[in-house]
Amino acid sequence: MATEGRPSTRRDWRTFGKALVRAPLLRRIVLVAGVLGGLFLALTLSRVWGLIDTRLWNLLSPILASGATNTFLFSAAIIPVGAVIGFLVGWARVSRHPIVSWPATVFVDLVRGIPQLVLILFAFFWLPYVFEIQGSLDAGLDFAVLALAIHTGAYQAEIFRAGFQSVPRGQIEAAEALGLSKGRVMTSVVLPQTFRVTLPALGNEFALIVKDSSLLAAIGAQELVYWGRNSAQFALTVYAQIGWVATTWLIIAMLYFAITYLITQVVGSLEHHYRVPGLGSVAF
Amino acid sequence: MGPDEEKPPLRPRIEQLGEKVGAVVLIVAVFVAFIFLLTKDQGLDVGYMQAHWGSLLPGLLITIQITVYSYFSGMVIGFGFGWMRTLRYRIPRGLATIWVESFRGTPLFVQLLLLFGLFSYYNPGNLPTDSRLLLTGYFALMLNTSGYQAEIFRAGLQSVAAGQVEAAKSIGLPYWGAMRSVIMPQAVRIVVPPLTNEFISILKASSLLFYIAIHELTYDARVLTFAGGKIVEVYIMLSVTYLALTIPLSKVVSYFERRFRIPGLGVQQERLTRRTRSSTRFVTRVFGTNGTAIGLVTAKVPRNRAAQRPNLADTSISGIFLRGPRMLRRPW
Amino acid sequence: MVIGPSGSGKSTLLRCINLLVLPDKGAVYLEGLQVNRPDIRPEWVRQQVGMVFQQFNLFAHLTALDNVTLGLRKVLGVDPATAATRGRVLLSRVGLGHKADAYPAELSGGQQQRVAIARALAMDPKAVLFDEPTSALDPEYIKEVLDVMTGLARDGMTMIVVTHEMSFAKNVSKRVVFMDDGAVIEEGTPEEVLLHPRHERAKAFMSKILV
Repeated sequence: MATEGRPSTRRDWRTFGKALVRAPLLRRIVLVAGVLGGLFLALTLSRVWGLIDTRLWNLLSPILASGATNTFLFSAAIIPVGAVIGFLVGWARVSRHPIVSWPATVFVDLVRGIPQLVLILFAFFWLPYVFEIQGSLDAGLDFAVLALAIHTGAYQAEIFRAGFQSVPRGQIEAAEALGLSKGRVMTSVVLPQTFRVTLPALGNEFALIVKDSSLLAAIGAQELVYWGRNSAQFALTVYAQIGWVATTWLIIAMLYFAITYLITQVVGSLEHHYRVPGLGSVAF
Repeated sequence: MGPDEEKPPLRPRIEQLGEKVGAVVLIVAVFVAFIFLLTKDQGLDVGYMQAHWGSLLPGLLITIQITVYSYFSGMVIGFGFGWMRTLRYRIPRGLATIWVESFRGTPLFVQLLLLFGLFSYYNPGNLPTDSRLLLTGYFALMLNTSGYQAEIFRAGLQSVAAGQVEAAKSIGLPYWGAMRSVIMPQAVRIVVPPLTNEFISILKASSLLFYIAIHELTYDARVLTFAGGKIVEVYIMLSVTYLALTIPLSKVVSYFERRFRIPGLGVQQERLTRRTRSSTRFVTRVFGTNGTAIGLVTAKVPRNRAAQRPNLADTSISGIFLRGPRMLRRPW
Repeated sequence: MVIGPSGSGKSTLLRCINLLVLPDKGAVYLEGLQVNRPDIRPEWVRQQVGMVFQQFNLFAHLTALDNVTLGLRKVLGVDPATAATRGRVLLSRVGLGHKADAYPAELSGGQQQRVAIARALAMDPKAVLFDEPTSALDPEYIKEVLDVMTGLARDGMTMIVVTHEMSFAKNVSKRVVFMDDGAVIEEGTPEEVLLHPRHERAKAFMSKILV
């Protein structure tokens, strides 16, 4: 038969593992990691060999070590929580029951209309007191991260809503006509298509999350911008080296690029792997 | 016979109404519970809010001013770079790409603090501190929004079907004429909703300016809380103020999106079944008077003749009417 | 075979049969058993009765083969290998054995509808409902779908078809039902209903349809 010679075109979770290893994604991750590692190495060597002013080195190293790691960790924490919130709220938004969809709509409209920073500030300064957690900086930080997650959750809810609505009602009818239960209709027909269709918009949103995480520096979280501020302050006031200020921020910009690139590459490879001819994407 | 539009039968009206009422009750209840949770069972001090909401007004003014100034100056820059991104020439396109990616790829916070450092060191025009800070904030927002708006403009310009440029040229319109009469009217419709969204974004982003001591809305609110103010009440006032600005604007966005929908045009890709490439090509003609595009007409032209002017015999009117069918007049 | 002007309720009638729409009054019988009862799950009924839609409604993210075997795997619990074999058999029966790994977007309208028919047949239904199966097709594809349906009928499958294809009605169907305004107006053999309608509205409809 003509079909037997063709390689399988199955594209779902079963073939993802193999595809991941073969994918250009891995090469790109290695590339980025290599570039960053190389940078770090160059800086270290420069210090050892006296090419670089030790003071500049002292300014830059915490950025790379603590700042980049923390930014990455914050983003990695916010993305999944936001996605879960977004998925649930988005699902609620498309419900036929106003008792579910109206509160979801109100939630989305309110949260999207308030600046992230305001949410962060409020969460950081007030919520620990509300929940009787005294004195710890970490508690406030956790609440602030939660606030950010809720904020992106509202945006992701809109993305998921568009995704759910892009599946034609006829297919849901056809699935029911086959005898699939409501739950199965969801998992076998609606969700796979929603997933594929929302990926590009979600990738975009994840990039935004990385940038929004910079706001946490405003409450003292030790991520990239915090260290950048520190170092730039020092460079300006104590050393009066404007060149160092620019260098610091340039490196920070590069690091943000790197983290964003990583995340969008991962999402992009997911998109590529799960692509199906004829299934477009929702614009956002 | 139209496509089968069998909807599930509507649930009885009473049931629907009951659910809606229940929804409203639920929302209000959640709000009240939320307030009580936040104020630790003391309820909202409305008197406090009434007394102090005036303190937020100066900040509100600054916020609006900075937002408006930076948004529109950023729009000018953004349009320039966005247009540059659509060019065929690599150098301007590359420069524009660098600009756009720099400002879209890095957080506003970084841009703000970098400018802060620069302006502190170089102090342009030897301004007093307050003005210098305002200038920093204004510049940061302006540059940031220019990057985002450049992308919006680029997408708008490129969404207009490529054939239109050819068609306009084939009837003798020069580049600028084509721009003015054909591309722009269509691009404007595509571009308005995302641009309005960007305005809302800048409005929200302006809250970050508090960090460099610009006395905008969030800063004033923080000042209130320092002076022993009641945090929940202050933040509620703050949130309500922002919401009062952003919610009407998003309704405007929805309105624009609905009104300016051109079927078949726009960024959303539907499920497309693959079409076989036919030997005919669609060339769009522009009918108009006084150089203003009034209607668009699609003409089928055999592929090898596409370079010549399509003649009227092949023309079929499928038009997109930009000003209403009544005004469609032939120039001859 | 159910015919009638648009809005007469034909599609709703079909959907009442496989309980996609729950009837407010009346009874639906499957092989003598009344099935629109609260103690019978609609999903069970739908397993016994297949349906083919005007808009094909193939699952866009699955290949033709996966479309056909979805019901087998998820509802009947058949293991993937057996399901795949059966699926391929069904696809060749509708003439699309070579397209098993194609996605719906890569298929023409006629091919999609034939996959939809195979999908309905996969469940080994007692009857298949067709809701205007050829109305959304380009003319060159109508014949291939009608051929498949004719073959099905010859093989003895019980089919309830809503359509405007009168030639199909005359040649293949055993009973014709004419509906208007939500009610069944006439019922009988094709000759009776199509050529010698008794009701006024039926006569008017036939004169407009039949040349």
